[in-house]
Amino acid sequence: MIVGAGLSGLAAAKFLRGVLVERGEVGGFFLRDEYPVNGVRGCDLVREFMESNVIKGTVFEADEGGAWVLSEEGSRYLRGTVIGANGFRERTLLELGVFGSRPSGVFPLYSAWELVNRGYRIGERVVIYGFNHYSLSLASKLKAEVTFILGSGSIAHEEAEALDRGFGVMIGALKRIEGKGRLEALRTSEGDLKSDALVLAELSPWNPLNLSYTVGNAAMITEDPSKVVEGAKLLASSILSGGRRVEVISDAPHFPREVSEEVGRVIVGVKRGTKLRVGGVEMIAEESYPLIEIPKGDRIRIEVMGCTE
Amino acid sequence: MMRDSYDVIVVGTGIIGLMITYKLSHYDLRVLAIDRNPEPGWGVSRAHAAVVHVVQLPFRSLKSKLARSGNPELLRICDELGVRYRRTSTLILATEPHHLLVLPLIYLYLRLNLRGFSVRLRGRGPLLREEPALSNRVLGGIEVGGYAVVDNFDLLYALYEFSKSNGVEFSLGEEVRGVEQLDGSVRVITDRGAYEASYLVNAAGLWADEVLKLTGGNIKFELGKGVLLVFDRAISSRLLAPLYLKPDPKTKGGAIMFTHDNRGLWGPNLRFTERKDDTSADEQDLRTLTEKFSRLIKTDAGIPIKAYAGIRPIPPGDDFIIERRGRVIHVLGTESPGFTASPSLAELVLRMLGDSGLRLNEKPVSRREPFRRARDDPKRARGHVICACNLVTEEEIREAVRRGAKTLKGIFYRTGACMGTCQGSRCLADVLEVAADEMGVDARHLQLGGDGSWVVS
Repeated sequence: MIVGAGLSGLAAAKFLRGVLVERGEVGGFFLRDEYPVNGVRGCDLVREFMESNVIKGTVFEADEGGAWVLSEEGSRYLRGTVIGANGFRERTLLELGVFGSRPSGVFPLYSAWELVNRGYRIGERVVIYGFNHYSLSLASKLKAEVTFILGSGSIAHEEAEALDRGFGVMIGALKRIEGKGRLEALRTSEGDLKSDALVLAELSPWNPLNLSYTVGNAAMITEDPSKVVEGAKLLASSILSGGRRVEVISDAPHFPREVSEEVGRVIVGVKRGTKLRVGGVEMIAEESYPLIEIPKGDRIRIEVMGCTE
Repeated sequence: MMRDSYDVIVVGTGIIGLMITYKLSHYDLRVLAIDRNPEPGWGVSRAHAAVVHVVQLPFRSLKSKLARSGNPELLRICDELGVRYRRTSTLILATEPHHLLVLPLIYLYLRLNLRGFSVRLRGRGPLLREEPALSNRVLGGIEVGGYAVVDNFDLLYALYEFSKSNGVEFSLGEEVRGVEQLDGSVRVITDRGAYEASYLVNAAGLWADEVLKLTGGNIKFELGKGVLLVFDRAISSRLLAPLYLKPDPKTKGGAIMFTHDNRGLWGPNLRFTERKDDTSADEQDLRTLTEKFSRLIKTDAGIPIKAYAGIRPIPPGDDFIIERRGRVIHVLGTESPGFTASPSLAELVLRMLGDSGLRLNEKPVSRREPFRRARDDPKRARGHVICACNLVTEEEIREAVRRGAKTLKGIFYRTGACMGTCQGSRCLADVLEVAADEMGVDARHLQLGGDGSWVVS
């Protein structure tokens, strides 16, 4: 049973022949994501994996044997291994160290994405805090003036890419929000910005049910939709093959944290050209989000040695 | 233009004003409540911790006495109105060896002054077993019973709904600009016109000084800002407060608390501000609260969801002031523990109105239908969930509108939508459209919390 029918959930359901539980629209963020990474568009992959084995509802409690699902038909307990495909959550203002008032016009990324796709304008001077595929994709849809403030760098995109598309880029940290009824200004480490809409797009994996198995952005923030699918395949193989588990420890984001020895591969969230040491052996990432072969053992360490580019 | 006349006009629909209208609605009276905010309870009352208190120093103060008498009455009213709350206790925790020397003395002092409430000395071992989140630095403590955490917004709206359905008229978004004492009545002039009443009650909270000024009086509040941090989960089943050897009379010092919905709540701190609308939180607030409380626990506090601030009107003498000037009763300085004391305060105001000549003839009242939510009993619920963090259904959004929500914040406060860990990430667009549909307006016309707070265009 997979909780969430976004791209990662759809892919995991296909590879595992599982059932999906989704409260909203099937397809998630990538359904309307036409902004490519490495030539791959999320919406194409969603179409490829789209299927109808979906239970409408919201999972509110899960345990080792299954999960409780609430829907218009009532609540029921569904048995099975529960896999979380809840996607990302936006880091909160407190986590980001942003203070001040809380006027209207401050949107978490996903809500801004939904509103824009439904035909609403979220503001006339929009600032997006967070530089990643998802914020670039939103920016590509906005007619309004957009300024990126880079809270953290994108793995899969370069700053020049945003500039080429006409988005202003500002490297710095957002510090404070000002405004009474509606957002008026933003104080940043690099100066003040006039703005009537702020989109919070610094992301974290989201696993609200505290599940052992998670996939996609619920496991690791991944910007490349093809890697989201690859991650789902990896998890499915690891679950289906059984075998001894290898614990993977890394100072870089990685997925899965525990992998079947028979599968023996993990995805690491580093840029192309990053020098890594995997179980004592040095290597260079040939692409962003590389798929790394890991040696046999109970516990394998992946160290980031630096960047060659 | 004179608009209408009433037996009583209440200015302010915070917890005190609403508790007064709730009590007045049991009598055969014509009552009007006026508030400058678009919805009730949006002043001081929307930004406190909703804790039903017991310990309030000094014990001889009026606010301490009213809190102790108001404590059981507030929970009785919650029961009557179907308002959610959780009973709990407070642990006053000793973390230094010299604290242990004074612990028995503080225990005796509390026992002598808190008749009717349980007070127990607690050893380190049992405390650490019962509250696994507690730091190993905790050496012992005193447990005081009788506390509770209330669904604050549910209580505010319950009082509003009960008062309204039992005859109280409300005029929201209207500001009082003048008060004239006439022979046998009082005239209230607002930005929309004027009313006449036999009596006026000033329960304007943070703005009560300004209403007092309109009647010729004068008082200067200190504006005490308190910031609270909200986490995605609670880490204890009791409220955890550090022991102080020199308590600050202006604050109980805050605690690690939780909400009725089991979210973590840390604070408040206390610092002074010059502006009544200064409800911003700063990095310094976060640092102060984190440093103060993190030493009491050894577990991860969870995901910090947000910080919010409330401002207390601290009066001279640090005690509530309730005074009558002609036909006007002023309730001044209703800072903490005004929430706990509110039923007793309202009763006091009613007595003063009665003593002044207001006829209090009881009438039959209709009950308030509790606001039922999926998350109260999800395994028996049904519905299309819109907010997954707080399990808010589409029907709950519609019901909030039917019960009087006019803004998105009004819906958030009534239902909990957009107030969970994702802060509206997954539900804001749906809430906006369902609310607009129920109100029969375009979503572009909805405001977050009042004029100028447009959401989308």
